[in-house]
Amino acid sequence: MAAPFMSRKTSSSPEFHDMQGLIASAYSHLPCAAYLLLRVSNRPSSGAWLNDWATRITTASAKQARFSLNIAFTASGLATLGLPADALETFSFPFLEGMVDQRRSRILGDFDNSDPQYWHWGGPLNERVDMILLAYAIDDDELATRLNEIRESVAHSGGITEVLQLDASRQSDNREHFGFADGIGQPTIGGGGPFAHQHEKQLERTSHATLLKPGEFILGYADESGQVANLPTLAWADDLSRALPPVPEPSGRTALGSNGSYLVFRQMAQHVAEFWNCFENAARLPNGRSDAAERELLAAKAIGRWKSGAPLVLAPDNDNPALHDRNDFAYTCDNHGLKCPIGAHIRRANPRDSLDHDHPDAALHSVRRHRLLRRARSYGKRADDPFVDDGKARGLHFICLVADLERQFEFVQQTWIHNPAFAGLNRETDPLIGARVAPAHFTAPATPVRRRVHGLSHFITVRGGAYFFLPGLRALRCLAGIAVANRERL
Amino acid sequence: MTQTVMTIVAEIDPTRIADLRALLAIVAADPAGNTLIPLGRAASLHFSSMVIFDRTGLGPVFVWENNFDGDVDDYLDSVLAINAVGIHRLYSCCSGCPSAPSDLRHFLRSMVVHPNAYHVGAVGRSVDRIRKEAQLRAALQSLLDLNSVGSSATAAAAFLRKSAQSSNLSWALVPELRQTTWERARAWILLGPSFLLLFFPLVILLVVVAIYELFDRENHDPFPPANRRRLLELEDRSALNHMAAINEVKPGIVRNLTVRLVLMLANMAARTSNDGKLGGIPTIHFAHWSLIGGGKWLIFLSNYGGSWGGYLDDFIEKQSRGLTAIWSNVVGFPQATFLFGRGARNGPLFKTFARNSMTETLVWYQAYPDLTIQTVNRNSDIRDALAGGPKDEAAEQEWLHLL
Repeated sequence: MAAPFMSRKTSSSPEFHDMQGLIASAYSHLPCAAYLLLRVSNRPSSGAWLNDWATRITTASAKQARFSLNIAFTASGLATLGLPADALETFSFPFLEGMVDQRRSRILGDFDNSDPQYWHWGGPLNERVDMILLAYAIDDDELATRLNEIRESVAHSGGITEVLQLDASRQSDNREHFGFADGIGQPTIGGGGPFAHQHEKQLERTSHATLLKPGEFILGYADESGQVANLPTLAWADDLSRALPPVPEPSGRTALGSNGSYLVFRQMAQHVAEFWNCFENAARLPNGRSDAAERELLAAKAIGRWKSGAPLVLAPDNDNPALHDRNDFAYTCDNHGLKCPIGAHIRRANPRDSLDHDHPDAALHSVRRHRLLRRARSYGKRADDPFVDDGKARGLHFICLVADLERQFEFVQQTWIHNPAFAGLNRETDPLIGARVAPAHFTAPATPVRRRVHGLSHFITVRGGAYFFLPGLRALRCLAGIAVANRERL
Repeated sequence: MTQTVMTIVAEIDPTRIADLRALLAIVAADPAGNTLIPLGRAASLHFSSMVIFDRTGLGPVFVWENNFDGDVDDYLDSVLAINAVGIHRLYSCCSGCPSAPSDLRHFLRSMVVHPNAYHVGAVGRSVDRIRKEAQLRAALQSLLDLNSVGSSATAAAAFLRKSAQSSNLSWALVPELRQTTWERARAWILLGPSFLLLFFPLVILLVVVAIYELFDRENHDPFPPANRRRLLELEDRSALNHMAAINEVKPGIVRNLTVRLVLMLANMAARTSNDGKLGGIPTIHFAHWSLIGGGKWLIFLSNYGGSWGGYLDDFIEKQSRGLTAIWSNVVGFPQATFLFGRGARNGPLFKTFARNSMTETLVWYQAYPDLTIQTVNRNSDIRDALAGGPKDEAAEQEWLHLL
């Protein structure tokens, strides 16, 4: 068995030309998107198709003005393409085990309505998903043209079949369906090149950027602890492309994971009317009359930002659109959560300096090991009336990139989002996306006594999901080569 | 109230190991209420686990972990009173077990292992108190939900005290210490001299160990063991998790002495903890380090809150030196330098080592499965302030912020 490759990598600048573009960019200049879920049915033919399409994958070094295409694989995809077992087992356990696993469902909150047996894709009763194509375009026409081209080539590949197409809606602004600005805080990556550009943009837009080492998101680089951790490797003899660089140890193996990342995909349906009616009812005056200002405040307290995106820490009483993208705040000035509640969604998802009141710097430092590079997009039309359930499907295609599924994505879900005892709270989960069996409550600290909003139901339901590996370009060509050469039966 | 932390370590009769496993499966199906040893009826018991350690050169041994209020003798009397016959059935699978259940007490007593180092999170609080304080918090929350409590903190606090007084919560108004001043002081008083006493031996050992380290050629098992899946299936079923690990101490007197000395110091330091934290790690209810088999084996048992990965990350980040000082004396640990250096700082290698060291926890009993140590402490803080009587507006406000 091969040991995972670990060492201190002293080297130099990231290999942007070998990295898929999604790592360096959320493609916000390309507002239309769709995701194509695919299954490999014939190994050599799928390899030929991959070889062909590998040249069209967008890299981090070459920004495309009109269209970008990225590709990622599930563990079953890698196995079906013929990746040898000794290479497959160098991938991380959560990736190999997949998102759907009894224990994992417990910690990700995938039970009750979100139970994988009800999923539309990725669940135990659904067709197997081996690959995903992520397509981003400047407008609907461009997207339709490119998708047609892709789907035609898939249909004629003789080795790949389409499982499902997931459409994202045109992103006219950064509001998600509940009506709140989303995707404001985003960590940035050190190493220069396009990362430096992202960093500058983030800093300019939000007045803050948390700069992290490349290894937090990209395999084969040193992470915040200084280690290059758990790089998937391939026996040198199996790399027919001869394109992968060798790893220092163990000898005879090449860096299959280099410049890759793990991609988490979760399709979350949003129940807009349930969300707003819950806060409408909680805000009613004693005489039963509606109180719109109070409703907006309570809902903002649940999120931690106002609809405009203005953070409650900076704008505690009223929405202030002038502060809409601000991200330069900490929680030390708000230890009790009087401005932004302890259990607010953004405070759970990124507690910043708040988890150790006596050592805020140390708390802030710990959080650096649990950040996600978010690449989410909404799907479905916005609700005309947020208080009326129109029965239409809408939600979020949550996507994030991480180097360590367990330490980053799963940790955030389990220890922060779904943790009933988060930061001294008792028996409540994230008010927005938290898993709960019975109607739950949410605490909004106040003086002299806190306010509790009762009757929170499921505001989101998970409809599908999977863990993918987003390979580097050399690794992609190597995988295609393996599939072409390997004619063994599937 | 002081807690006792101990294990009962028995050698299993190799021909009876399947029988013991079958019996433990019965206990595991319902640790609190099973017919053999219904642990829920042991009123003083916080956490208990049963594990079979089976490694080349050791055993198989049956380890029964117990963390309880009061002393060993009272505890053994109380569990034997629950069902001596059932416990006897378990131990009849072990070497040297007396044939009559009535002789069991002496047998068990002789196999009690007091840990070389241990940690208690909810210092000074009994099972009963922990449970009652959780109910108190819920009752105070309902009072606040259902009543309008006035516009000042003093008014709201007065309302809560009055409501508690006139209800079945009046017990909570009587203050109850967690530790006496002497108990707190004693830990510090003992720490100073023992540190001075152990300092020079430790420095000498450190130099010797540093030379030994040059010859350490660790053969890391790169992949966690085949039972990883089974370990994972057992995890994250409540707010709390259990970890049972065993490692072989590196051969020779130097390593043996070093691990004993380091554990002794760790234990002295752990005694000064009164805020639930072990070296800054705030999630551990009870942890044991025990040397067994004449110091050849180190067992580690922990009852902690949150995920295994998060727990280990906490250790790596806040206590990598302490971890390394202890575990670099066992086989398979990532390469250390000068006893405290490197080692656990290599997070991924350390996690793999830790998974490889683990054994499936066959039985785990938790008296309060939804209460993390932070929650227990917060509940006690709420009760202390309630019992502390009226204060000024600012102090009452601090209290009300806990709710």
